Amino acid sequence: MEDRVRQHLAAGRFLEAFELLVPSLQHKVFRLAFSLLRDEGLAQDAAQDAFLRVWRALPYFEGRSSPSTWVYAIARNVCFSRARTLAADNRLGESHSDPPTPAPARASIDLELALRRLPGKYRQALELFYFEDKSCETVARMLDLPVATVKTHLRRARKQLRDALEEQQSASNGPGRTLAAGKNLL
Amino acid sequence: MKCHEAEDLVWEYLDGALDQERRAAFEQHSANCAACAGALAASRSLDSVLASQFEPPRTPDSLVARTIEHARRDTVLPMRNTYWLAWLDVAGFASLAAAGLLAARVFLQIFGLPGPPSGPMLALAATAGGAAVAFWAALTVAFDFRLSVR
Repeated sequence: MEDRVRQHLAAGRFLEAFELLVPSLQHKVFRLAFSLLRDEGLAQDAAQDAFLRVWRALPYFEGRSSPSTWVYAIARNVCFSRARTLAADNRLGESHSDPPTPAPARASIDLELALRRLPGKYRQALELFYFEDKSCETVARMLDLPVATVKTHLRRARKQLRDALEEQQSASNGPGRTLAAGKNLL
Repeated sequence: MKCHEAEDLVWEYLDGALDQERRAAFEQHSANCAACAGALAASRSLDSVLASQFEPPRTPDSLVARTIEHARRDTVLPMRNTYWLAWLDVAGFASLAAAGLLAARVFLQIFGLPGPPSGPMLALAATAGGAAVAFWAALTVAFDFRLSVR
């Protein structure tokens, strides 16, 4: 796909390039937006806006990175911008509630709490890792991070989760039970 | 394999990122170490919960169609994309400069002020300047139009 996009761009066939890019990257861009904005409606708007910016910027694509990496960068910028606007709106409206999150259908409240306590970069890497079928390389490209950094974020995120859940479990079950020794994590 | 090594590898093991040799060593250690087996079970349980917690959201069906339709109707259209087209601008500025010099030369001649020789040279300069301006305008319009209708 990337080579064909490059060929179309080199020939000035922008619409053809765009019609290849959007279907092949729609899921990843949408998931990236969702991981940053935590809301499907916002993610859809952001993904569409990101693609529109891609369309307008296609003639200026210089080919230093792959087209997909370039699209992810634009999508990240759109999402960060929207997240900042949302945060500012929340502050102006004196609403200190947490950003919208999907309903915890299957996860326990304990896990939800532990996830909320994770640093944003850890949670985002973790979320995208599972969204993208456990591919560190894909997550690294989507977030423009080295693969080693993604792995570090994942390791720390899961360690923090395990520690937090272990603490919660110990507190609820009383002393003497630890996660490492027990099989019932949640 | 020591316990601390197994602890470092537990997630790579669960993510299927270990090579065959390290995978075998990890499995052998976990089979013989109750603490590491417990840690593996706990991590596997967390992994399973996270996988269901982070099930990918479904991309809206309309995203592609709406996006492409939006792009087709977009009023801000992709324009020049290649560096060599920038030479059109260079040619344009050169043409404008030539036209300016030509105008100055005509002005000097009309008011009888001293200047370089006139006659055939002036006619040639006027023709060349006019042709350059027309060429630049035609190319610019043609390429902008061609790229705009994409």
